[in-house]
Amino acid sequence: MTQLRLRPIQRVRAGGWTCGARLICFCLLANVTFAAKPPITAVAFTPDGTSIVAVSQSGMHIHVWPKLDWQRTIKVSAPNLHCVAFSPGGNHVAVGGGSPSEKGGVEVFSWPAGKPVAKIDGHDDSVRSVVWQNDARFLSASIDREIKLWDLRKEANCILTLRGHSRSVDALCLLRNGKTLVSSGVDQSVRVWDMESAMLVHSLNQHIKPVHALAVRPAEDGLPMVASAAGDRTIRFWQPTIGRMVRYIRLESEPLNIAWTSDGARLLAVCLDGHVRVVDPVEVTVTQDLPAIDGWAYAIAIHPKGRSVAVGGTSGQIRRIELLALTGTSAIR
Amino acid sequence: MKILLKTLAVVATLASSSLADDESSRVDFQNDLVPVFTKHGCNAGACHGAAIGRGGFKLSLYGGDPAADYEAIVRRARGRRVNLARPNESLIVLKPAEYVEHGGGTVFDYDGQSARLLIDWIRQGARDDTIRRLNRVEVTPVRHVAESPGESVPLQAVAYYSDGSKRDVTQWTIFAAEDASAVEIDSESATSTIIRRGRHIVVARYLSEVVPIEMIVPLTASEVDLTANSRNNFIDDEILKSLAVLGLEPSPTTVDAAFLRRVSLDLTGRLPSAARVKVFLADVMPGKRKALVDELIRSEEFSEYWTFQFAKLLRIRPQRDDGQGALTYHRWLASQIRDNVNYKELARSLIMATGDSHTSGPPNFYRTVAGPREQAEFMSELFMGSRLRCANCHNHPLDRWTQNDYHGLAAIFAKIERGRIVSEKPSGRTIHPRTLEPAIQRIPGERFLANDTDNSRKQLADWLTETSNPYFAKAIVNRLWKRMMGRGLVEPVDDFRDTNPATHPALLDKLATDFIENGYSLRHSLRVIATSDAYARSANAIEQNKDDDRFYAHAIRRPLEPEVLADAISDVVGIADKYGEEPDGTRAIALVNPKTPSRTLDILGRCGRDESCEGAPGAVSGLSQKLHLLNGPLLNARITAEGSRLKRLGDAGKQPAAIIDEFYMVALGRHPTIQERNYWKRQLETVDKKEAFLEDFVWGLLTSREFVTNH
Repeated sequence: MTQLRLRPIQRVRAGGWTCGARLICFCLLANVTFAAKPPITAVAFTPDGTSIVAVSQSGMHIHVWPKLDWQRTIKVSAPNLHCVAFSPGGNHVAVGGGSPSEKGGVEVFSWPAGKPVAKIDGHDDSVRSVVWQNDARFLSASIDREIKLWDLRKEANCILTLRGHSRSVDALCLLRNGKTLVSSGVDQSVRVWDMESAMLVHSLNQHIKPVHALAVRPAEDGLPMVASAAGDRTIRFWQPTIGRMVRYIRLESEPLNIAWTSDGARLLAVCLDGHVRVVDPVEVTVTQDLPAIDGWAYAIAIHPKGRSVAVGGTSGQIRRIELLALTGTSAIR
Repeated sequence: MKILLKTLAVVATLASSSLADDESSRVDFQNDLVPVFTKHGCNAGACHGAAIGRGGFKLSLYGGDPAADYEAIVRRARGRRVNLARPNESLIVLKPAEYVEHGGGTVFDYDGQSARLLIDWIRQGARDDTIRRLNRVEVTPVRHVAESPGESVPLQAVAYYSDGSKRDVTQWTIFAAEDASAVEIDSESATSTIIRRGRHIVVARYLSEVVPIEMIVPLTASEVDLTANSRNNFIDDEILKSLAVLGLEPSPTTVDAAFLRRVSLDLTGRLPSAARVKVFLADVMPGKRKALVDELIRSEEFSEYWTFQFAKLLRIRPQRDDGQGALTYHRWLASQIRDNVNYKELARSLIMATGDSHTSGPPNFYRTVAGPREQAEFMSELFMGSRLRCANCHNHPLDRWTQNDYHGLAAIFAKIERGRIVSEKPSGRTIHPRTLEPAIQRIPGERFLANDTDNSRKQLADWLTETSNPYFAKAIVNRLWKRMMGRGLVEPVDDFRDTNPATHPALLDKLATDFIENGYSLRHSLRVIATSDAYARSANAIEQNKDDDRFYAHAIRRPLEPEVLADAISDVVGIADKYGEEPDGTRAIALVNPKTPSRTLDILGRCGRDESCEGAPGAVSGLSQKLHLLNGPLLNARITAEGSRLKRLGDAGKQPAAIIDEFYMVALGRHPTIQERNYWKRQLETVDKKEAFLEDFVWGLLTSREFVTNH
């Protein structure tokens, strides 16, 4: 019985209540009245790095970084939220989601005010990924198999639709040139698109399970590199402009999301077992394996100015990880 | 501070009582929800239980893997299928209630019990920890004998759990008749109605438990008393017991001539010679049938024929033009049969085989199929009579086999190098498709083996051949029974499972026990069957048992196997067939290569042994084969060929009536009846060309049902 009462305490990670008595009280009430917290599906650091935005079925919440105290909630109309992204200039934040099997869309808010700027319901199912092309344009990928390009300045909003994926499109990333889009999804493919001609350039089919996540390496030199994480437990490294898979690594647990360190020296993967694995993309080895949360870890974001990492996942958990050294130990907060 | 503590205490008390209520009303994913998915067909093969799921959502087949189902519902797709913030808006509820478009239509009402259970579970946190483990399900009745068709039988299922609790789960149990035209199931009221006379099986499925229910309506309305019927051994006790329940009067014991032909074909694959028929029919000793059986079992022809039968079972054939291996294997098998090596030792020799497949027979066992997975399927079907192959992709829906069993067994066989030299390969492994990791070696249904074990095949052989093994002895005695009686007690013979029960379970047990107690002797079990009254029953059905096709009230007529029929034709016409480059006089059943060129065997529909021959149709089953047999050169040319029996008898000056009599003896193992004699006499009186007439007579005899069947 005691364990049952205590379990929600562990799950309420981002509540911001630090007083023990209040925590116990909250948890007891939680057992009587409330359901478990929904999983955190995406996290993003605010442009100034002082806060973190976390989205889930309970909405969009802003937490102070690094303490993770709850700061405020921005009301979002969609019941399921799957992704969040700040515009390059940091003036807007876009949240993607929808009503499962009914409609999907993106809601854009001004930042830091959090005022609604635009609400787009152009998809037939939830939006799984959103990326900004510039401060006015962003792309959304949906379970309805479509990728759409939106322009906040135009009334009709949707200015381009890319079709080709045969199943849900789960991840997007744009190369630094802003013209080459990489997408992936449940059809196990990684696809490379030319945004100017709206043509599919490459369809890369080495993965043998759904491809959950993509991330562009931030390095400046050489051909652009994109990492993809899939249900086949592999992370594959691609040179998308030439359609080549460079190398791959198979992890002990299925990676659900990935993010590069700011210098591009390491890739961090959050996994189904709640661990964060630090991958050396050259040697394709796991250099660190860090238990982060209890349950599935869906979301990861790397602080823009340092080695801090935010991880979100099952039961509303958000954790802070300090990467003390890429080759050394790390601290989990 | 005191106020705060008092408040906390009150809240804690309230919470505690509330928790107690919560526990009693808590919805348990595994025990409460998986049966809901099964009941509504969500996890059936035609829906989300398909190997690739449906609509991007995959459930394990019939809920065989609740942990994977929980993952699919709660964790996958970033948890979009359950809405923990707004439980009643969860996709897992809205879809089947068709509040949003659902390819499967409306599965349950949003206001119904299924939706309520789901919403309550989500509201309670969509937990995966189960309160209790299902120990077993008891279904009542497990056997029901109704007086007449039309009787309705209420069915009930009660689940018993690890915490000592039990509950009625009838509502969430699937009851399905194996033959829907024989038993109707009303799933709302859980009532079965037997429509047709006979023995029928209804399968009850709740979670991973499947329970067969036997429904019987006697095949005749009249009661039969079989207490006075003769019994030769335990076989007759069991067969008569079931006939009495079914109201079936057994046919009388067959006549000597029919018994002689039947037992000769069954034990030696040959027709009795005319001389033997005469001697046997003239013999008046009461024990002559048993003596005949003993004589046949001791004969060289027995060894040759049962080598052929086991060669089919082991699928002996040249591999990639490597005829030497097949020849060595065949010779080894022949010596095992001839020397009456017990079946247990034979199996152990095969499972633990290593060495040069050109000089030693058993290593060829590992060159029969393509790889470790196929070897696991082959081994389990051969020695366990069980089809593990379903468990390649998912836990077996109607049996106990899991993917771990299948791939664990394959992992044992992966450690074998299977070239000409069969040897251990410690580095060998096979990948488990679910974990994408090397599968862990496993004795199916029993235990995992340590990774570093170096005697996994010995452990497998030990487990398989220990006397308590539930599969090994039953699988082989069932095959012997089928070979002798025309139908396995379990059919198909390689599909033993709880949901495919034996027609006579007690008899199968006794046959297996008797087989073990008598040193796993094939000859012993064949003798026991051949000397039973049930075996000696007439193949002619009587009015009181004409609807019986599986309870042995009368002998079952069986088509002769292609090779046996080919040899029988040769024996009757007196001209040996030619098989490729094999020496003249080679019999079809002695061919090592089942694909040896032969138009006769092609027409008769032989089995190439690339796959199991047990599902292959019998001889002369297709229309084209029948037409070839009736009209083609298969018979005509050889009937009239120089040196044929007909020619020889004619040249010797035999009268047509005597010729007819001899052909009856060699082909049918009997003299013509008075009516037949008179018929042929009248025919002979009306024809001018007696020679042509006799050719037609022989052709007619060889295409008759009496000749092409064993009966």
